[in-house]
Amino acid sequence: MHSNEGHKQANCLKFLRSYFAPAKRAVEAANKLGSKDTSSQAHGSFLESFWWLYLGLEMEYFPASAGILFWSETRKDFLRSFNYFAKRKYRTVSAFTDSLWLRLQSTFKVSNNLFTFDGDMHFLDGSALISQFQTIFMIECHFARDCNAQILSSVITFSSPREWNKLRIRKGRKRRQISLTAVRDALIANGEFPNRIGEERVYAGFFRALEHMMTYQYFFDSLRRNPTVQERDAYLLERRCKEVSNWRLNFYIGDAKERFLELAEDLGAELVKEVKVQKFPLEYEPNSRDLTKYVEGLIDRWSNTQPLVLSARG
Amino acid sequence: MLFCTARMDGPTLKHDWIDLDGHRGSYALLSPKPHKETAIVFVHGYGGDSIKTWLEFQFLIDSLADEYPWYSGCDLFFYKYDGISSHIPASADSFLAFIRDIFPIPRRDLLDTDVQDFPGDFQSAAYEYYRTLLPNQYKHLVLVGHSIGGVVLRMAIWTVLRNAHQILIDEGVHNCDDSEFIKVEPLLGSDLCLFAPANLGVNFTGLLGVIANTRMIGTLLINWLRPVQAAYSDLSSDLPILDDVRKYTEEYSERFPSVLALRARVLWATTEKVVVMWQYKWDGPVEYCKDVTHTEVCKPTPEFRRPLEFVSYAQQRRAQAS
Repeated sequence: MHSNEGHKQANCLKFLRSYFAPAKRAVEAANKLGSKDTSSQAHGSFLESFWWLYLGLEMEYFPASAGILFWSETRKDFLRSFNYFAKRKYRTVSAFTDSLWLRLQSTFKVSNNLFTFDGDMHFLDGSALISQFQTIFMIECHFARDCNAQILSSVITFSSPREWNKLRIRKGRKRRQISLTAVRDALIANGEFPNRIGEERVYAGFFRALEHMMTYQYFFDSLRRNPTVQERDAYLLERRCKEVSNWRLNFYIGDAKERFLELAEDLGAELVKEVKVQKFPLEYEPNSRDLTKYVEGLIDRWSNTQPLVLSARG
Repeated sequence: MLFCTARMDGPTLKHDWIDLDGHRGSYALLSPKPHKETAIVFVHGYGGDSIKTWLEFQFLIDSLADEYPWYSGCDLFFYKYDGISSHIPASADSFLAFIRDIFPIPRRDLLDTDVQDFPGDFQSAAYEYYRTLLPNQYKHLVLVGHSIGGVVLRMAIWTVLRNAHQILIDEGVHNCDDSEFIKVEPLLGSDLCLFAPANLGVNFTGLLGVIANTRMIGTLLINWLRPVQAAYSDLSSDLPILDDVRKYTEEYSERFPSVLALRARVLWATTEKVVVMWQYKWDGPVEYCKDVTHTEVCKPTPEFRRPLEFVSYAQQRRAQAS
C-alpha cells in the first residue's frame, strides 16, 4: 500500500502540472486556431488526462481526497470535451476504446461520480508497481507534450481523406520532394502546442512515434520479465496504460495504419536517395521497403494487445 | 490546505519525479529522505534523451532499494540537451549552466511547480511541498555520461578546471594543491562515471550499422536526415577538440591526482562498435559488460544490474576511504 498522503498529493500535483494543465492549454489554443483536427486532438488529450487521473487513483498513485476535489473543480471542462466527441460521428469517437468510452459515459451520465465504473480488471498488488507506473506516466507525458507527435496523431486519426491527400504533398499524381532538412529541424526545434500543421512536422512526428513505440515496448518487455512484479499485474498495467494512450497511435481506426505506412514509404524513398547522394559507408544496400517492413512489424507488435494469459517465466 | 508537507520513510519510500524550471526536457527524481548529500546527474548521448537513454534507472532505484540502498538517499537529475545540432563545447557550456543550478547549492525555484491553470491553493501548497524536497546544499556530486554525453562532461570539467586555475593565479596562488582547486571549483571534486564514452571519437561505419539493427532506429534516421551534424563533426573531423581535452585532462590529472573529476571510471560493452574503445591515461581500470550493446550498457534491468552497481560504486569507495 502506497500509504503516504503527502507523497501521493505531490504526485497529483505533478499530474496537474505535467499533464492536465498542458492539455487544458492545448484546448484553449486549438479553440483559437479554429482547426477541426487540432481541436479533436486537443480534446482527446484532455480526455486522456481524465483517464490517467482515473488510473492513478485506482493505483493509489494519487490520493482519493485530491482526486475528488480535482474532479469537482474540473468536471465542466471534462464534460465539454466529452460532449465534443459525443456529438460527432462514429469515426472520431471510435478513436477511443469501448471500455474507456463506457467509463466516461458511466461517470457523466449515470452517477456523476468519479468512482462508478466497475467493468475494470483490478491489480492484485498495484502498490508494487507505483515506481513503474510513474516512469511510464513520465514517458507518456513527454510524448503527449511533443508538438510533432500531436500533429502526427492528429492527421492520421482525425483528418478527412481530402485533407490527408492535400497534406501528403501530392501534386496531381506526382509526389513532391520532402525536405529532409526541414524534417530534421522540426525534430530538433520542438514546441508544446502545434501552431501550424506542416508536412515537415508530420514526418518529424512519425519519427517521434516510432521512438515512442520502441521505448514503450522495451519498457513493458522488461517489466514482464521482472520477477518482483506479479506477472498478471505487469500485463494488466501494460494493457491499462496502452488503453489510455492508444488513441494517439490507434492503427485500427479508419485509415490510420495506411496513412502511417504511406509516411514510411515516402520517407524510406527519400532516405535511400539521401544515403546514395551522401555516399554513406553502409555495409548493406539500402532499400526503401526495409523501413516500411520494419514499421509494419512495429505496428503489429504495438497493436497486438497483450493477452492476459500467464506464461511460465524462464 | 490540500497538500501537506509530511515526510515519509519506510518501505514505500520512493523518488518524486518533477520537471525542472528553465531546463526543458530535464527532470529530477527527488528522494523524500530529509538528510541528503548526494546529487547524481545523468547526461545522455547523441540522439538520446533524458528518459529513454537511462530507461529503468528511473524505477529500479526504488524497486531494488533493498539491494541498492545508497540511491534512496540521493537525488537524481536527468539532463536534456540538443545532442545533435550543437557543437560539443556549446553543449558543455549549457551543461555547466544546468549544473550551476543544482550543485552545490540548488536554486530554490529550480522545481517547476507552476500550476496557475488550476484553481485553489495548489500552487503555494505544491511549492511548499517541493521546497522541502531540495536540500540546502549537496556535498557530493556524481556525474554520469553516455557516449557523447561523456565527452560533454569531460569538456565541461576541463573548462571549469581552466577557470579555477585562472582564479587561483589571479589570487596569486601559483603553486596550488588539489584541495585548493576543489575549494575554488567544487565540481572538480565530483565522481565521474562514463558509459561507453566517445572520448576518442566515433566509428562511423559501426554507428550506422549497429543502430540500424537496434531499436533506436530514430537515431539512424536522424543520421540519414543530415550527415554533417555539429556534435558528430566534432568527433570525426580533424578539429583538435578531442585531442586537447584528452591532453590537458591527462596532464592535470597527473599533477593533481586527488581532483576526482579528472579521473573517470568507464564501463564498456564488449560488443562496442560505435565509439573508439579506449580511455584516458589516469582513468580507472578497464571494465566491461558482456552481451550488451552500446545503447544497452547504460540501461539497467532486473537481470542486468551492472549500471546500478557502476554508478553507486564511486560512493561506496568514498565511504570505504572515510
